[in-house]
Amino acid sequence: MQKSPKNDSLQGALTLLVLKSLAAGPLHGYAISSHIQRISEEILRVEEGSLYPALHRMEQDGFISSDWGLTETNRRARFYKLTASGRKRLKEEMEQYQRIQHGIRLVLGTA
Amino acid sequence: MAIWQRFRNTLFPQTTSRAAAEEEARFHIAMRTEELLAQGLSPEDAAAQARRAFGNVLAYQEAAGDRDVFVWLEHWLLDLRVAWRRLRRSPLFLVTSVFLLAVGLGANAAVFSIVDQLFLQPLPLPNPERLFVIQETFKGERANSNPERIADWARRVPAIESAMGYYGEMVPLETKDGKRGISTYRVAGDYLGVLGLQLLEGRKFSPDELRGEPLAMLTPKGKALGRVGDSLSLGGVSYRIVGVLAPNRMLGPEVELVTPAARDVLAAPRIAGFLPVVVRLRSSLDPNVLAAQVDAAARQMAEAFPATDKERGAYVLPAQSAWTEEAADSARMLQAATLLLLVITLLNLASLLAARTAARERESAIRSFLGASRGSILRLHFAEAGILVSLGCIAAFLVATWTLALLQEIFGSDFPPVREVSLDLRAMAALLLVGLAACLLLTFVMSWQSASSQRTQRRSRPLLRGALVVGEAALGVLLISAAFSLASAFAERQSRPLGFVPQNILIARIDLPWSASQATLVSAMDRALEEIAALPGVSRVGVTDRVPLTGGTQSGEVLIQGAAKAPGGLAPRGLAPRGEVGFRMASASFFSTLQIPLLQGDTLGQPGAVVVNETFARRYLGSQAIGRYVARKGEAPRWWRVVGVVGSVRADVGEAEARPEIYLPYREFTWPKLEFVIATSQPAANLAPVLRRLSGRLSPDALLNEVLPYESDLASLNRQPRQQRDLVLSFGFVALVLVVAGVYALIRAELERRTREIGVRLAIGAQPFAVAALLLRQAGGLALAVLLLSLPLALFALPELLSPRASVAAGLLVAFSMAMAALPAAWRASRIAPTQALRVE
Repeated sequence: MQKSPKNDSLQGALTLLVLKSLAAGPLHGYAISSHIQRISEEILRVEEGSLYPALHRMEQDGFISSDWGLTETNRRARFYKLTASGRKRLKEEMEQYQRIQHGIRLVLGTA
Repeated sequence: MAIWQRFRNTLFPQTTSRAAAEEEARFHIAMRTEELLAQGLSPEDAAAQARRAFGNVLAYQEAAGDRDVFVWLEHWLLDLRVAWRRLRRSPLFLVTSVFLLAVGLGANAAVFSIVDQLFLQPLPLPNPERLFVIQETFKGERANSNPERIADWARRVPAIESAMGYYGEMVPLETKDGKRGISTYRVAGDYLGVLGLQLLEGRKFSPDELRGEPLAMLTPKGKALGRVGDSLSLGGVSYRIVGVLAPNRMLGPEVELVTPAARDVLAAPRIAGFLPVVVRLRSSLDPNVLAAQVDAAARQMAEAFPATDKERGAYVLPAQSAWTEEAADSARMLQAATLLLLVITLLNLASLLAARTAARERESAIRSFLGASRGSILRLHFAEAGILVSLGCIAAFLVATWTLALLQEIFGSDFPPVREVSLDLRAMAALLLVGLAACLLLTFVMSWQSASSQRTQRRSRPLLRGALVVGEAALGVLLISAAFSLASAFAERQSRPLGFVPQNILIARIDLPWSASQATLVSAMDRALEEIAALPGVSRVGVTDRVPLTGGTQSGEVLIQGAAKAPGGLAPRGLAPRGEVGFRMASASFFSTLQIPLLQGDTLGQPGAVVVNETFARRYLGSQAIGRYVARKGEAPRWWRVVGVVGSVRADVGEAEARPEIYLPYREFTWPKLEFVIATSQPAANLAPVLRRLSGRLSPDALLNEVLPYESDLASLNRQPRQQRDLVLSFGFVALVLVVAGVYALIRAELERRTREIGVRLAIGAQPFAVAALLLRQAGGLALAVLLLSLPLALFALPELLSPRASVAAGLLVAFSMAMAALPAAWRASRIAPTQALRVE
């Protein structure tokens, strides 16, 4: 099993990852974490200790909103979804990320 | 989250954020557990790993909750809750503290309201700084003015914009149900213009109308009397209402009407003195200009009218101080007493708190040990003091309302403006400010005590408490001494001989108008005396212008017969100074009715005959009083023959001894305000209707003002000094109780502190009384310190206020009470079993 990267290495990208995960539709916290893990093929693993404070911070900032609902197994869970300002933020974060990624590639000579 | 929502969440804690966070965490852990189970872990391992991975759920909950509240405010609220719980655990302390604050702050708020509204705030009139009183003098003594001189001031002093004088009168209003006295201001000059009073409707009097036209303006109190254009029948004259005045405190609570002074009053001779002079200074002029011009005008008037004005002078006073000076002394005394009480209550509270803090050192130590910072302990103290002061302020508001009502009751009859005072915002702000200062002081005391005990690492000797108790007791001595001084002055006043018998006497006051002629007055008095004497149950009746003890009579200079040549063969030998000799109108029956003894000669009766009192005879006539002649000094003095000497009675209840007096026959020396003294077994209520009908027959404008037992009249005269004494006595009593409580608590705490030491002493053979003496000595030391601090202050710094006997008595009482307060603890100390004492701690 690949070793999961440390929290703090994800810290900068966490907002982007969460926003992107929610772009497809509302998800609860556990689903967000699982989604990131699955899509990244287990490379990225979000620590719960970082995920929930980030979710709350983003909710406070108005990028996401939350509602209580039922999961497919009929459990009560808090579902997060993107707000309009969250979509805008996602777009900005994506552009920013791509610029940085492009820059890094240039430096590494892999572009 | 919006700020208001965070406030709401802080003040009314919502469980949703924290509960939701908890539920979310549980859901996450459950999902993760299932995932791990699916990977093949045992249920225990899966659950444990999921929990570990999530981390501290509680911290997460806290963090989630904190986002929705103001943490600092939450801490404060928590402190308040803890402080309230701590206070509730000591109900006696809580109740005592709130009581102390309520008494101290409440009494001060009430007194401050009075002082503020009557003395500090400007008069509620436009440009009150331009209002002045011209105080006239005659031979250096204060005197009143008259319409002619008022007109002169307005004419001769350019700095005066307008001038006026006024007097109050009860005027009989005829209504369907009979006559009723209406409290009226009679004005000479531009009353409205000088005061700047506004009209609600109608118009003011024109200068021509002010010369005695029968017109009236209604005050707000008199609004029910009619409307503009209506007529009122006042004393047989029809008055037309021309205006209605806007409400103003300066109108007084009782006055219903303002009318021009009657023509004959306006035509009073220049020598008369019955009006105060109130003037409005022209705008932008300096009051010094007014003072200089008044001075110059007084000299001009003295030259122009030497016969009447030669010995007259005048000076200028700001209206506010002129109108409040009679009450200023009482106000100052009250303020000093209440301030003393406040300081005493605060000192007592500080001492209580110091004791409490000392007793809670253990708790504070545990809090510190558990990591509470100095700041958080201070905050807790602050919260405790804050709660006490807040509750104290609420209770103080009630006490203030009650005290104000009491003070209005006490001083209202002598100084009516006090009735208009209300507890205002400024007083409440002052109360809060003092409360806040108290809060800071108390917090300081508590933290100082905590800090010092932590520094020394042992129970500190309660020096601070000792100092607080001594300070409090020393102030208590001053307050009690003031109360004793007032009480002994009052007792002395009550013990003075009356010189007459007021029992079974009714007084009937019948007013006739100032304009009534001498013939009218004489016939009215003759008829009244005759008809009242014939009433069933009436044994004797007399008439006078003012019954003894109820206030000033007329006074003036007297010429006394001598041996040398003189007009009509008589010459003045001695001249009694003005103000010293009183003149009283009387009938012969006046003396027999009041049982004033006839000491020499005959009573009133023959024309030209007068009776003098014993003081007059002794001071001016020596042993040969009968047959001598006396006269009131004037342009053409009339000489009266002294036919008798009667016992002296005081004119005013406040006088230490009777002044010299001359009784003049009512048929030759008249006065329109009649007071009948009636010896009867009938109650006042039975005679009143008969007398009312009688007064109606005497003259259409005669008004029966009141019928009351002489004794109740005297009681009402003594009411104010008695209530004032009672008020200060009750302050003194509260102070004494506080001092005793303070000493008791201090010595009790001392006993607890030294229980172990006392045990050791007893174990090695000390006698119980020696142990008790330890504590008594300490109380004695405190008492000595109190005497050393307070007595020099009372005896040397405040000798005019506090009588030396009262101060010494107060000092001894406080010292004795302090020793007594230490007795219970001393008794307990002597009964301590050494084995038990050594187990303490």
